[in-house]
Amino acid sequence: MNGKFSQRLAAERERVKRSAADFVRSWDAFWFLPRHVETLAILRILTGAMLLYTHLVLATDLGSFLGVDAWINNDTSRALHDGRLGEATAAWSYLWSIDSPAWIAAHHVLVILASASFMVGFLTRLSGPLAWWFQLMIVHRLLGSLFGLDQILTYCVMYLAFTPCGAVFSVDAWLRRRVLGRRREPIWKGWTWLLPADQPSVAINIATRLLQLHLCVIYLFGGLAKARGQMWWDGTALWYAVGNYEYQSWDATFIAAYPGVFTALTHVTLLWEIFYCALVWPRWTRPLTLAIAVGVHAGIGFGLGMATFGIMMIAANFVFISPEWIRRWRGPTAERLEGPSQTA
Amino acid sequence: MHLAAVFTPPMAFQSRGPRGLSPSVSKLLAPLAAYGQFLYLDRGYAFFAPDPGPSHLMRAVVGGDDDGDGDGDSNQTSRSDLGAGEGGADDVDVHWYPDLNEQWPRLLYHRHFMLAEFLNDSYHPKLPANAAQWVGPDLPLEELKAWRLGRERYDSILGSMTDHLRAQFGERSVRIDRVEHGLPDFVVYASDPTPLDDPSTYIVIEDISIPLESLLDVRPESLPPGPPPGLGSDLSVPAVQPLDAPGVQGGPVR
Repeated sequence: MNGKFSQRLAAERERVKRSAADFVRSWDAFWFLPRHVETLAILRILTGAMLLYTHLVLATDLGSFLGVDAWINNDTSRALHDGRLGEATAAWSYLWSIDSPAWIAAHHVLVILASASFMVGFLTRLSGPLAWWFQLMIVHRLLGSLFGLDQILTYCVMYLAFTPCGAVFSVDAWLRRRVLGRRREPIWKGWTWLLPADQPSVAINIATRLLQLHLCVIYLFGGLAKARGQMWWDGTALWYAVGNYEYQSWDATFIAAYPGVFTALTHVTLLWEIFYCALVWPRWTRPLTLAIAVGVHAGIGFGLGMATFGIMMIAANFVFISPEWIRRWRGPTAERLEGPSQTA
Repeated sequence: MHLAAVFTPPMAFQSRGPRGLSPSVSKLLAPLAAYGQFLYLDRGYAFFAPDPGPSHLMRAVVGGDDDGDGDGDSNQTSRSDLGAGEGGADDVDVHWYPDLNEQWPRLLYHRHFMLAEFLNDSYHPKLPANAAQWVGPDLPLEELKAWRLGRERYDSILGSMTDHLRAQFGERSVRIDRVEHGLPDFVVYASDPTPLDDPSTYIVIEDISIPLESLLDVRPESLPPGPPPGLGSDLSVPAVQPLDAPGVQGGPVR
């Protein structure tokens, strides 16, 4: 009897041990298996283009948003952060201290150059962190005129900034071929860091996982916040979004005659947002989850006047697309350059 | 640490109740607050939540009487009543924010839209002149200070926006009105599709003092949720306006 019990206990112990080892292995692979760069490289282009666009639009009316004559002037912006008009926050910006329109314009030229460099992948190791830094300083200064676009844009550039996302589809890749050629040992070792090779990297995987999890948090709390309302449950929320004149970029008010349709879309949106964090991981539910993401954000972009936000959210969802797919599309070029390897 | 800083701010945003922020979330948030604020992670992600509400606009009356008492042409509430870019009187111009005719591309329009919503979200009614003499059990000093700070914040934001328009329009006098644009019910709309920009759907929100009775009736537990310590709201400004304050309706929409 005792012997049988001991055997079962030992087997159970072994099973728990194996499960724990499996968990550690999966955890390790989830975060630390090297990953190819293609997905983040495309996201870099999209994020850089949107950064460039937002900064160019800001440039058309720069004095209204930065400086002493802005809607929220330097002193008010500072006071809203430093504790004089509420609780102090750490959202500091040196732009509070720049009064001269000439200096503000010169600074903005630098901001635009950094964004453009990041988009085309020129010296991405430097332009990425620089574009992120400028973005942080600007969002901390633009209090009052920000919305969802600024959030997702800041997060995308933050996660991309410290990865070798300029290794492909970039000026850096072209420069690397010109400067290093097929040499394995460059004259100056810094070149291999500045112009990263097209090879799997742990940094790419970590950045991918962080953005994926951040998206899950955004949708989860977006859905939970909606679940506290009544209209998302009785199905009328979509109508009240469509019927909002200030948001409207496409008149879809004909939908008022089809309550069965807009209530169904409201429920799908609510449930999709709440369960996105679970459904986006399994392979067989991921395509549908991402397809709804595209549908919802295309609807917001096309119908509710926030094309920039819609495009950027769809771009962020692109982070769930495996780089191996894009690599296969690239065909033999990628393999010829770096060769195959085991990746996430 | 980073993942905790991503998760905790929206959690805190949702876990504030009538008695304040959940103590456990507050403890979790405290060491992460500065990190989250600097990296712009201190967001609630409450897009169109909990329910979609009406829009808020700014109507700037440039020139003429700028005493800001809401009289005169404030009864003319729609864009069509006053015109999109010019007013009825010769020396008065009226500008609306946002306005698709004046702000282009759409992103610039949307930034002005958010400014109008920001001003409205920051609104805090004036206190009665003799509010200080009621400090006591019914009106704790801390509560009075919070009311005053809220009003000071609103006045600073309104003052900054007024200065901006004054500089833009050649130092002419400027008065900014907050205007709420209501949403039609779909049943009514389906049977009688009145245009969404119908004049009757715009309401000027007046700025009047909160009555003393309302001020004394408001207990701390009935104040609407402001951001928890160390956490900005989606606008990064603590909101402590009373639910029953005159002219305060609906929630932020974005």
